[in-house]
Amino acid sequence: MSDDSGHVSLDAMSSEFIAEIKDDLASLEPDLLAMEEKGADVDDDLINHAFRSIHSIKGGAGFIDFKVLSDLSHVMENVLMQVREKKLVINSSIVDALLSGFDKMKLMADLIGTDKTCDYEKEKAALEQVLLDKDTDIKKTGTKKKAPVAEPSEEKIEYEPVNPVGESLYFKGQTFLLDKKRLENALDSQKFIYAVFIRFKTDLDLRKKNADAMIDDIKSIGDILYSSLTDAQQTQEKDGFYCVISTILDLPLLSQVLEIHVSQMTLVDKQFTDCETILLKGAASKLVSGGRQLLPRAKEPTTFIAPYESSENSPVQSATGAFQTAQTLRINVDLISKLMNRAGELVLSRNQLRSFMESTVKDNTRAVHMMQSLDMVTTDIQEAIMRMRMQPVIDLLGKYKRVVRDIARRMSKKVDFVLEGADVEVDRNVLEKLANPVTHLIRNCIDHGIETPKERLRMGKLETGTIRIKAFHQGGHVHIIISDDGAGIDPQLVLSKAFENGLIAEDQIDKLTDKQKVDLIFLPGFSTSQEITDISGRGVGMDVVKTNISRLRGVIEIDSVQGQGTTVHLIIPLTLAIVPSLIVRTGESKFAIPQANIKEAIYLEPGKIHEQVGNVAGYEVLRLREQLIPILRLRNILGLKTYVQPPGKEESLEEKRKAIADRRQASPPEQQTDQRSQKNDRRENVWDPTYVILLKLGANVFGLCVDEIYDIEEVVVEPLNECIRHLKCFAGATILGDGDVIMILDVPGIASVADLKFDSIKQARLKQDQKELKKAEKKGEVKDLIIFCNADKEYFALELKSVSRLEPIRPGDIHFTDKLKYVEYNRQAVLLFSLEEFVPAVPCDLSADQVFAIFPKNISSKVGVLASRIIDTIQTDEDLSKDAACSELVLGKLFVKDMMVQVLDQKKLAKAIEQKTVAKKERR
Amino acid sequence: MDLSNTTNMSRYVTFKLADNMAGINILDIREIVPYIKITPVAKSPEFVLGLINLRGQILVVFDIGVLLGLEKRTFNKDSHIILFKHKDVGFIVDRIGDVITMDKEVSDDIPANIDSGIKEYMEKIINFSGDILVILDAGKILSKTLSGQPSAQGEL
Repeated sequence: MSDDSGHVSLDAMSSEFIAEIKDDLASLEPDLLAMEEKGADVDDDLINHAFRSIHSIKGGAGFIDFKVLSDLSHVMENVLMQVREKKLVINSSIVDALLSGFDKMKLMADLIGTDKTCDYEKEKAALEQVLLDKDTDIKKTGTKKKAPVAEPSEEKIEYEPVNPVGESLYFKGQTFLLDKKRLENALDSQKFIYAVFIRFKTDLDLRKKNADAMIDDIKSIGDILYSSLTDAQQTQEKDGFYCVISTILDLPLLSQVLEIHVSQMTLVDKQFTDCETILLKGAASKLVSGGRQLLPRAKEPTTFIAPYESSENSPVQSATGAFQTAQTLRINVDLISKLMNRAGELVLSRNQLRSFMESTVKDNTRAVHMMQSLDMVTTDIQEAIMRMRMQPVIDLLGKYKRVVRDIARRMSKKVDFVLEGADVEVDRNVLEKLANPVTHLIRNCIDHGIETPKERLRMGKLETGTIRIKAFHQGGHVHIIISDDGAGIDPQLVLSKAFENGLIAEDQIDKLTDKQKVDLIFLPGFSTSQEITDISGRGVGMDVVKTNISRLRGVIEIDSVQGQGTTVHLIIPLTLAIVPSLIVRTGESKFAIPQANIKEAIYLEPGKIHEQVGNVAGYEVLRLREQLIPILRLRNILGLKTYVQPPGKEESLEEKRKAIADRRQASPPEQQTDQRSQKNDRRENVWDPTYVILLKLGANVFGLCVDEIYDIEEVVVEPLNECIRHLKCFAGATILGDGDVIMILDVPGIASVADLKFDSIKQARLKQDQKELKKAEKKGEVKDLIIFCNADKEYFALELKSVSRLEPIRPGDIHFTDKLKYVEYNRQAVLLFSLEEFVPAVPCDLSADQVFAIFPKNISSKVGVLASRIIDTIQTDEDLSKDAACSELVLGKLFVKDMMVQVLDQKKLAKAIEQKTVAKKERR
Repeated sequence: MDLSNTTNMSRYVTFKLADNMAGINILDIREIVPYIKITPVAKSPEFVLGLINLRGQILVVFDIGVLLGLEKRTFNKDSHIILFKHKDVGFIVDRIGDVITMDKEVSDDIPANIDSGIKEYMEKIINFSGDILVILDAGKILSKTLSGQPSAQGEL
């Protein structure tokens, strides 16, 4: 940042001003747009807020001596001033002038600190024209209420500033006489009332100002309700004099404009109008604390918002979020990132400490207690910091109001812009990267989607088109749906264009569905042709949009009905920096899979793999509940072919290096030491995946084979360095509790690397719906059953929906009392029954290491049914066969994979259990 | 950054890469750490050795030898990782040598037969007390390896 060329380099303070100017600019735009919307009914709050923004920009520009900006903002301010005083009625042309001025100001703000300057005569002239047009009006109304300082009035109220904090020395014991009417007027127009103490010496003499000049200054920004100047002059008071001012400026701004220190000012609280006693807030003294006296513009949160509170419900405010600035604190993003990292480390240390504590100092209640509170605080901190990085999508999407307005006006189209789900929050980084593609999509909507008003009327549509953006969270992703009710995309036109550009071969054409034809617009190179803009749908730069979305690891879907409109569906990961993830291992490498992507984990029994996994021409599929699910072996996807020695040991470096090199070249493993090659062989040849993790991808599912699964851990996602960011398989890296660095898998990336060809989201949904419909049709026939053993080789089943949970228990933990079996579960005694107590069955074998308790639903008391083994869950629509030998409690028999399963009637079982518990209780 | 502006001298950290002696300007370096466990990254470019956990920060380690077109090397307990100052990136070297101070102007012409691979990353070559010292250019290394997205951390 250092600058040798000689012009003013920006010091820290200036950059703070620049940041503030930019913030003010950002809050100005929605205000201007809201003004236009309201037209003549525009409320004072809005104008005042816009006015304040402009004014502080002017002040900031003046401070850093940036003439062009302060000049332009001055003219803008003049226009707004007229609006504020109701001498100018807002209309579109005024807002146009203001917006063009605003745009230029934005440009200027970017130029601060450079040598460049820009021409703004056009904008200035436009604004001045606005003023000229209304000049006659202004003259008629007469110049502003240049109210004399001590205007006589009949009804005066006397009040004494009470300073509850007692820190502001200047106002102790002061009494001012005010005109009640003027005071109320000022308050009604949402102005602030300040009591200001002006010191002759420092405020006037040192600045070579006289008291009248100061009074004039004050009048230029507000009204003087009271001044003790004449008194002070008469009594030859040497110190200074008091003024009570009504103005729309906030305290720091007022201080800056008048060049009076904030400690000499105090904001008068609003409530005094009700009780006729004046309360002076200790606001001023708060401001000067913390060594920031030199920077009185520093915004102190919450202190100044008091006058707004009563009008908080005003729709404009909540819609534009315009007043939020007062409650926020600007923090450098780097600092937040740093804090974020540290919080991540804190979580890691906490995890480590917790696992250590759990294994060693279990009995020390004090230590456990301390651990718990550390645990809680850490979680809180982590969540708070996470939220800090989250930004509501309105920060981005709200901007499009202006974009839509401008483009629509330019193209003489009428467009409404509807935004739903404005408060959905997304990580800042994601939001930033969304800006470009979303802008493009919206531009396309108006440019090519929405027809001209004439055209629309001809089509029997409303004259005004609608662009609707809807944002919502679902399954760890943010969905953004941008839809218009315009012309839609003509698949035939897209197709012929793609054919002309040589993007598609002739023999392919017939095979394409309309949907696939529309999707051709995503092809790179499709947009290079200029004439493409003539297409009645969209299609400019869609490949770029797609690339941008994929870079966010998101999905884009386009869905268009010709004549009715186009819908673009974006699914973007939240990329929360801390995500609960399942840690898995394949080969010697561990990986993290975000839990949001995981549907379920399937254990493949050794030796039975071939029953569960089928092989179709070399591609493996998993048979699961009547479904064929594509499965991928993680190690093949990542090309982890050779054995990688767990690093960390010194002699391993060499091997590791080799292994890495081998892996990269995908060459067969070299013959190394005998032990290693043995290991290699084992891995290479007899590799059996033991777990399949079923992963969700939109509405689709695929399986990923891994060797082992560990725990769910909250991992801190660290973005990958530039040089490896292009790797599709990984979403980031993280550090585990033991200090190891592991990679976080990216599920969509893996699917695309493996080239899985899934249906589109919509199709998949459709299919799912159909399936569910089928299920509904067959209702009562398709059941999900959980199969378990009571004794070995005697199989029973319960309907899955009637089971609330399964719990493994050690037979040693079962307590026998009065021939009843109890087990402690969640600090409650739970009664256990064996099936043989109800149905003729071989008694449950309690000598095993582990048995299970099945907790059925719909039973009032805490009761579990014992099972020696849980076999599987299946989905079946087979009819149950019932014969005379069946017990009453059995619905029927069923053959599943060579097992004869007796399906229990849950209701009757529940009844039997209830009876038994009651009977036993009574007996007792 | 511009500490060296004040004098005409530059300081270089020297290190061994296979049989070569090389150096890099000390001002481009954040720190030097002994070899720590490196997690390989599947499918990464060949010059990427993997990731390390340096006090809770994840950094990428390059094999600078691959960049320079040297023979594949092995690493041992003398291996060290030199971390660049402005990027979360480091590279592994076989052995750390002395820090030498040199006049900035001292430089020999790069001999014509030197492979272009190494030339791309070289700042200059110095005939230094019986050894040939190749001074590497941190900027060139970083700009070639990172896909040109300078991070905010680059500024001080």
